Amino acid sequence: MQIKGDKWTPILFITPSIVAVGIFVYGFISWTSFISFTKWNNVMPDYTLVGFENYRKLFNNMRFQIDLHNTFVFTVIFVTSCLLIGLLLAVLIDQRIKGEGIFRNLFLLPMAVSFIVSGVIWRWLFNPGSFQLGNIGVNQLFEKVGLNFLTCGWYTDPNIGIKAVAIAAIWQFSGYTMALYLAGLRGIPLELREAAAIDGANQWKTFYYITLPFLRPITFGAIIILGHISLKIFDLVVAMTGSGPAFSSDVPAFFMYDTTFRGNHFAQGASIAIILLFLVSLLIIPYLITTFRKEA
Amino acid sequence: MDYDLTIKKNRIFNQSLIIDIFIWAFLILAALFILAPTIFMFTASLMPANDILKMPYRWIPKGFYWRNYWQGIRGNDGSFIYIRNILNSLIVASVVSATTVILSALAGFGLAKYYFKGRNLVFMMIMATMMIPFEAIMIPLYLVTTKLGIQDSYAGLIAPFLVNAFGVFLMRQYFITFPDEILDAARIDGASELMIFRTIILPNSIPAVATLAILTFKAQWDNLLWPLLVVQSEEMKTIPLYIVKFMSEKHTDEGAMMAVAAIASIPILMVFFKLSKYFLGGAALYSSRKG
Repeated sequence: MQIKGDKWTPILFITPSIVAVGIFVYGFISWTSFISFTKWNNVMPDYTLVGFENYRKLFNNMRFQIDLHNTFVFTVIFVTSCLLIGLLLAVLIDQRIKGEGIFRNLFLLPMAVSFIVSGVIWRWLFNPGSFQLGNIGVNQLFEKVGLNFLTCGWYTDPNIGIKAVAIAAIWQFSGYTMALYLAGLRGIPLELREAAAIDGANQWKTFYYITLPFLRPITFGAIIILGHISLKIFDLVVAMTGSGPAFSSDVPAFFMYDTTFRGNHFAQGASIAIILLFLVSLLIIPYLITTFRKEA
Repeated sequence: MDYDLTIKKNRIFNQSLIIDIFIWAFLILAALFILAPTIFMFTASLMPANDILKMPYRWIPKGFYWRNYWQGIRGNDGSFIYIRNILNSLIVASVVSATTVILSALAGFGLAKYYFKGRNLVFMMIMATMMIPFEAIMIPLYLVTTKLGIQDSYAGLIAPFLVNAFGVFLMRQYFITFPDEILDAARIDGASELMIFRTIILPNSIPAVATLAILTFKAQWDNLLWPLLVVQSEEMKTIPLYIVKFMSEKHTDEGAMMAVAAIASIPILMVFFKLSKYFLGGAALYSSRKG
């Protein structure tokens, strides 16, 4: 039984947030999608409706095609690398070794650094160097350990572009993924492994048949978190390279900023925003569904 | 028959010194790789530009070349505007954290501990907005901000972030574990709902409040996109904008650049070393083993 408190207070508690979310999120998303159907591609607002014209133009736009391709490459490299490195580090830290707390914190450290700062650092580390200076940064490291063939122009090389940005992002988030997996590993009931041991499973089999399946929800959650970060990546691109040569490190978020606020193509910018929203919702919706199944 | 029950926890390998040393060596190597960029930033910030470029990089600076920090703070134009920019970031991040914590806690409490029609729907509607890209609301936000004439001001920098769906979600998940009986007991004793919130709920929610405050502070401290749109004057710039500007200036010294980046990172790193567990967004995600 719940004792009824004052009826109006809870309403007062929730109202500010509901109103704010209603107007600033749902209202503004509708407004953005409305703009995306108008002709407003100039300084002065023009609300003439043109249907899907902006979207049609966008998908025929070479820069946007490159952006989608870059986002795809970035997401695949970033998410899989973070998952693999994160899982490996988590499993090793979980082997009851001395100093695990120190390792855990050290691996998490890049999370405390902002995208902008890590962009500043990696821009230097991936510096292509010059004729006078010779190799510097990572290229110098490659040269030192005899991996000369790996030296390259990084973000100045159109073939690498976004992949250089992805490496910086992996550096920032593999520790975070490690922490997610570590929490998952700690949540596996001891009885399960004991049962497996009694049944004669060796440690590798236990890992494969018990630990890995148990970590599946963690992997699912991590893919959603990392995936939505990679769709929204912006700061790192700005700090490291901007669009790069031949748009090789351009991403939709940067294109959207560029075309809307530098080029005054508001309708085109709005349509990019809606496509981004669509891509992110492909990730969120399955997540919401599973979360609510658990709650209900 | 004897069963091997020594594989407590998640050990894959049998406990042996040699294997432990291997694991250790690997983890140390990984830690060095992960630390190297940050260490580079700090060491380079203490070296003259010529030394940064020297062929084997010297991981230990010869001396402390403080001029980089002086140059970074002074700026290439000698205006010392970075000090003002740091202050701006501090003001914006502090105000946003405070309001986010209060408003999220109120809403989270309302959604966790009161039973009314449509409660789950409201929660779902708020939660669904948690990960939406800022781009999707940024154009209208910009139009309204300029219409109200609050661009290039603290109000313009702060207003869009007053409420935060993630905050509501975090608080609600935390409060839902509170036993109703305690709240009811307080009600019988005549406590008002606001009093319950202030004297029972908040004091017992330090981990959730700290997590939200730290994450919000960091998000604003690092925020680039929105300030990029609404700030026009040098005086109203925040740290990320100063970094971008300093980077794009022609004669920027590499060492001074690293000093500027280091200054931006030091406050968050200091908090991180003390309170690293809160960075993960919720104690539920972070369980540490005892013993």
